[in-house]
Amino acid sequence: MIWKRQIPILIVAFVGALTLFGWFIEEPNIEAFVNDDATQWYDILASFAIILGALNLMKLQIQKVARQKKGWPYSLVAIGGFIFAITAGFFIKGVDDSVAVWGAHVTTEGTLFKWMFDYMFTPLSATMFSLLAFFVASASYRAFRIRNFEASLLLVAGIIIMVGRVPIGSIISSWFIMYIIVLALGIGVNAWKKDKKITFGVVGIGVAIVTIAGMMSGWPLDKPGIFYLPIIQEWIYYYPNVAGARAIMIGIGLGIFATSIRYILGIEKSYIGE
Amino acid sequence: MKDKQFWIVLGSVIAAFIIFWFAGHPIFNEDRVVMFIAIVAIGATLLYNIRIAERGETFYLRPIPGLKAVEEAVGRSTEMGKPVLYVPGIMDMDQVETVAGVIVLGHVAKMTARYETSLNVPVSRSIVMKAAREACRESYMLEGRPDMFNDDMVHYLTDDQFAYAAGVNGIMVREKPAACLYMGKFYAESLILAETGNSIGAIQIAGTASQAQIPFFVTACDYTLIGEEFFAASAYLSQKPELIGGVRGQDMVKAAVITVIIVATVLRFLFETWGIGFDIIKLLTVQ
Repeated sequence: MIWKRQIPILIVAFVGALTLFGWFIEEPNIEAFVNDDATQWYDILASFAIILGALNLMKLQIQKVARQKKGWPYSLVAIGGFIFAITAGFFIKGVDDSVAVWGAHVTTEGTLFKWMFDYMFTPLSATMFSLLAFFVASASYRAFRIRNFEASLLLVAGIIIMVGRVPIGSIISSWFIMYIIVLALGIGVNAWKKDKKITFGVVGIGVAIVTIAGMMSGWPLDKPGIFYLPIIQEWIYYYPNVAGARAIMIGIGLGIFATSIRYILGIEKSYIGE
Repeated sequence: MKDKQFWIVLGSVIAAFIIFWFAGHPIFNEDRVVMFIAIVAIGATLLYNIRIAERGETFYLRPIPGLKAVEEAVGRSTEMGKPVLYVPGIMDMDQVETVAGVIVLGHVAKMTARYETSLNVPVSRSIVMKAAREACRESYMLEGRPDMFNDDMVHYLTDDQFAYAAGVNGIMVREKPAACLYMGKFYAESLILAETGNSIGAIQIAGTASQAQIPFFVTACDYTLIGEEFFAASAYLSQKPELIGGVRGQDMVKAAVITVIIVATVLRFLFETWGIGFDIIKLLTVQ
C-alpha cells in the first residue's frame, strides 16, 4: 500500500513544492530543474507511454475487425494507416542515405514519410479544421436567435463587432446609427406603453432632434464618435469584453492554484484512488 | 482564532521568513517577493478553510446547474439504453485541467456504475489513458460493480488534435451516445465536438478553463462549467468537507482580489492625477 499511496503522494508533494517555490530561488540547479529538467522528464515518460496507447489502439481495431462490429471497415483503414506510417517511419525511407539519413527522413522532401505527411495527413487535418467554418455558422445561428434579453444583447454586440470590423462598417454614418437607435427606442416605448400616439411622438421627436443636429453639424461621417461603428466595436472589444475575460481568468487562476495546492499538500488524492 | 495550531504554524513561518529576509535572504529572488507573499497568503487562506471544514463546519455551496445536470445526463442515458461519452480534453496530465477532468471522470464513472450504464472514454494521450483507466476502475470498485468495468472503456485514439476530433466524431455518429461530457483542456476542436454532439441530440455538459473555447461550449452545449466552476466540480460531486473548504477559501481569495483591484485603482488614480502615494502597478507587476 505504501508504494501505491504514500510514496506517490510524497513525490507529488516534493516535486510540486520544488517547482512552485523554485520560481523564487536564484540557484542554477533548481532553476534548471524547474525550467527544463522537470518538463524533459515528463516528455521522456510520455514518449514511452505512447507505446501503450498505440498497442491499445491496435488491439481495439483488430478486435473490431475480427468480431465484425458496427463500422469495422473503418477499423481496417485505421490498421492500414498505422502499418503504413510505421513502415514509412522505420523501414522504407524511399530515398538514398545521400538524400536523407534515418531520423532526418521525416522532414526531408521526397521521402515516403514526408509524402504521407504532406499529401495524406495535412489535407485530412485541414479538412477537419475547415469544418469549423460550418460549425461556427450553425452555432452562431443558435446563439443569435432572439429568445431573451441576454440573447438579444449578444446579437446586437455580435452585429456591431462584425460590421464594425469590416471596411463597410467605416462608411456607415454615425447619423444612420442614431436613426436606428431612435427607431429601436420607439419599439421599446411601444412595447412598454402600448400606445401608438406616444410611440409616434417619441420617434418623431427623436428623428427631428437627430435631423436638426445633423444639419447643424454638416452630417460628419464619424461624429459623434459614440455612434460610429468602428469606435463602438473597439469599445465593446476592449472594455466589456476584456473585463469579462479577465474576471474569468482570475477565477481560472485561483482554481488552478487551489487545485495545485490540494495536490501538493496531499488533500486531493483522487488521482491515485480513494 | 478557531484553529490555534494553524495560527501557530503560520506565525512561525512568517517569523522565519522575516528573520531570513533581514539576514540578507541569500538565493531568494527579491523581485518576486510580492508574488511570494501573495502565494503564501492565498495558500494559507485555502488551508485554513480546509481545516475548518474538516472540523465539521458546514458551508453553503451555490448550486451549479451544470453539475446537477451530470447525474441527470447519466440517468437519461440509462433510460435510453445508450452510452455516456466522456472526453477529458486533448492535453496531457501535465495540465491541471486534464487532471481535473480525470477527477470528474471518477465521479461520473461512479454514477455510470450505479446506473449500470456503459461509459466510453476516448483519450488523446497515453498517460491520460492510464490515469483515466485507474480512476474508472477505482470508481467501479467503490460502487461494488468491478464486473462492469473493462479496460477498453477508456481507450486511446491519437495524439493529433484533428485526428482525435475526427475519431470522437465518428464514435458519436456511430454509437449516438445520449450524453456527451467534455471536461478538460480544449482548443479548436471544441466546437467540432460540441456541434456534432448537438446534431445527434445528446445532452451535453462541458467544463473547461480554456478561455477561448468557453463561448463555443456555451453556444453548443446544454450546460457549461466556466473556469473555476470546473475546478470546483470535484468538491461539489464528492461533497468531501476538505474539498468544499477549499472552494470557500477560493471565494475568500476572490473577495480579497476584488478589494486589491479597487484599492489599486484608487491608488493609481491618486498617483497619476495628483502624484499622491506611490506607483502601485510597479509593486504589483510580477517580475
